[in-house]
Amino acid sequence: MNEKKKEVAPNKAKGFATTELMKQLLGSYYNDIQNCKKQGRPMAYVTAGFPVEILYAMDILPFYPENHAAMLGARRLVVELSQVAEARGYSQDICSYARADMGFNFSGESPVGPVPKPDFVLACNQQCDTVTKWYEVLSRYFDVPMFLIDAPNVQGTEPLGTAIDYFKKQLKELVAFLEKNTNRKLTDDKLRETVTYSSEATRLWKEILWMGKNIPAPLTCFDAFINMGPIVTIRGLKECVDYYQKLKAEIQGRVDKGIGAVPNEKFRLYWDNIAIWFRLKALSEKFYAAGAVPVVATYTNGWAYTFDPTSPWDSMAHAYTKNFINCGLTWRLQNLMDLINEFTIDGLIMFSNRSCKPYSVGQYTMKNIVMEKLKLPSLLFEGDMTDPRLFSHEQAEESIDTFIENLSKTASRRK
Amino acid sequence: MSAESVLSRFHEAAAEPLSKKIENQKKATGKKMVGCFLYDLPEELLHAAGLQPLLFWGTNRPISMADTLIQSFCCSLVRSAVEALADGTLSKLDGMLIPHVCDSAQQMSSTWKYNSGGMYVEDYFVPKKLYSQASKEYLMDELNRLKGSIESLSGRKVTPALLKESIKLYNEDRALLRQLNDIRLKKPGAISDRDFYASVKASMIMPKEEHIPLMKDLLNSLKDAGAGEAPKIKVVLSGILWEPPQVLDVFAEVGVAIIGDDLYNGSRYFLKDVATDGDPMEALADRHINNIPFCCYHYPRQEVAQHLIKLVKETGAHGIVILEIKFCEPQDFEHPDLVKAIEEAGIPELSLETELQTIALGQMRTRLEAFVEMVGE
Repeated sequence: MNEKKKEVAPNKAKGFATTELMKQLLGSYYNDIQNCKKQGRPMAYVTAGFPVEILYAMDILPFYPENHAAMLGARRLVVELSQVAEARGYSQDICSYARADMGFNFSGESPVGPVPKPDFVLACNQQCDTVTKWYEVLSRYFDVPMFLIDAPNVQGTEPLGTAIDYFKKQLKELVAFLEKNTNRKLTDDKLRETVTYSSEATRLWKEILWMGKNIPAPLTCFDAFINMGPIVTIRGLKECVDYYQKLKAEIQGRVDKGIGAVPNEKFRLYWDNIAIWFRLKALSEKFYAAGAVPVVATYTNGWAYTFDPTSPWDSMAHAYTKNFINCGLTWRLQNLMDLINEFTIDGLIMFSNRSCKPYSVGQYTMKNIVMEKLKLPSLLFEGDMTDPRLFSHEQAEESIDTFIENLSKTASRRK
Repeated sequence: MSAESVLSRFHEAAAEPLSKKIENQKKATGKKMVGCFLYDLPEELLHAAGLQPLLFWGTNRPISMADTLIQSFCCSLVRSAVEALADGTLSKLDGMLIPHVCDSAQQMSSTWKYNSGGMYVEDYFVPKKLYSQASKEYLMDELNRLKGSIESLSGRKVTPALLKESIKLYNEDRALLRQLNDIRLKKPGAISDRDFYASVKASMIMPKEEHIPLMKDLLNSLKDAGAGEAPKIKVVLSGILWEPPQVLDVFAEVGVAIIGDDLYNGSRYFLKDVATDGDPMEALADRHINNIPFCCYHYPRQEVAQHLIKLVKETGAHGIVILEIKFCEPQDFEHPDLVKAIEEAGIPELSLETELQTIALGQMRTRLEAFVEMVGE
């Protein structure tokens, strides 16, 4: 038998060397944000699923409140900032990214330093209706114009043709809005360039994530959460492509040697929902200690867009409308079954996130169907992505223990 | 029929258990029945297709079975709708139509499809932007798509002529509700708020053919009615729904009359008609676009607040009461700036929280009493 000898790293594989470069890149990105007025570059607050290729093509800087809030969550600053928003009458029931961001804007306190007032705020609601209302608050607070791209939901496996038409028309309206508000013009050449870079970067990102198929997996979902900053914030720039090229090469190195991110990989898991930003280390260690490795996540997959630089408007409209978060259970279930197969999944982690209804509502049905059809166990636990007041560590850890016990019984039956 | 008899009929209709209502109405009309979650949807299309719409936003019964299908952090409109699905109340419906007015409704749609035993479930992918040419074009496309789907459920083609007939009927009903609304404005107390809103709700859960003659009788009876006992204060009520119905009793007991609103199951339902000239599909789109502002949609500049402030000036209300449904994110986001705008306009404001199942009525009463005192000063 010519099986490649599976080398086990002497210690748990400690992340990636390439990640150091990411810190530099994001540092430089936040520096640009802070100095945008000095640099004479317009800056916009932008949602995570916005077609920023158009912005970068016009040298407009996008600032991402969600990415910023995730960082605030990781640094355990969300409670303090949320309380600033709550003091102004915002309910604790609303999305914690929004509370953290509004609290930051109202108080100006953030480790990334002062962020200048945006020239306008831009949102696309394919990810949720929350961003529409959140950005309306920002638009009033800063007294700047707002542009919303309205993306109807995808209930089948493909967007409605009418929804794509609508999106494309709004892209043209967006360009008119941007040109009017910045006195800059969008050129086809510049757009082709940024869409080309986006296309390259998202292709590389997908290839990286799909390396999780290998047994053992050379990277885990937690690794992907840590390395997703550039694909979200500087997608459309060459630096993003360079970064993921380097990261991919490093991960490929592990694949070639059969090195797994977690040395004793016993159970391979699927992670559903946004990361729990304030508890990444503790959670990952809890899973890893039992050899339980999350190897695929719908969240990080969400940026594995497909763009066509020769057809930028059509491909942007399609990619941004069909983002998984805008798809109903039909697409999600099909996708889930495909991933379970491709990534050799033993069980599902369904994190029911109080801050994200479009992600969380429907998980109960998915869990039931997967148990019925595949007899795969799911861990379903409730919490929040950045607000620790809405998450019980003790309960979650108990649930994880029970889940891992179940996995031991069912996974051995599958082998 | 006397006013009392009509109102009694309206209250009965609201109290009738849903499953019975579905059974009885299907028998009485001989039509297939389609449940409509909330109702920002073109009811007239369903009617023109020979279907009977049943507008529905959940129930006041306690929630238990829905917990296996949907999380607790969704609003009680969505959760109690899912409860009614899960406990079999809606099993005799021939279909369900769900407008995507918000994230919870949108997510409920998928859940409904996978847990309703093959019920026909259709979405109304309503645009969230109303003010651009692209939005209107999309809305027209979506209305056409919906029409096709409705036709395949009913087996009847919706011709422009049939649609115009249904529009006429619905306009007639809305006009009668507006007349009743005028009475409560001009002669406060001639009809209680409980009775007024029961009349609106009755329109949503009865065939229009049944509701219209009853409304005519009611208006006829009230023609010579005088104003009732003067309320302590008159307010504009803002929110999604007056629910549960006991909320209206509390208002009445404390002496607060509601003389205007922007409620979903209030003015939003009857204030605007559908144009009867031109293309009827375009007329349906225009009504949607021009309806009074609603917090679930995108408005560039605080249109909800502006509308309420204008309404206070027009009606001479003493203040605004905002009724918030727990876990309604659109309302929650809108709220602080809405309150600020109202205060800046010099209008007294009170915010109350509610949910369909249980609310602290005692607390609501106390706060309303304090508000009445404050306004009276």
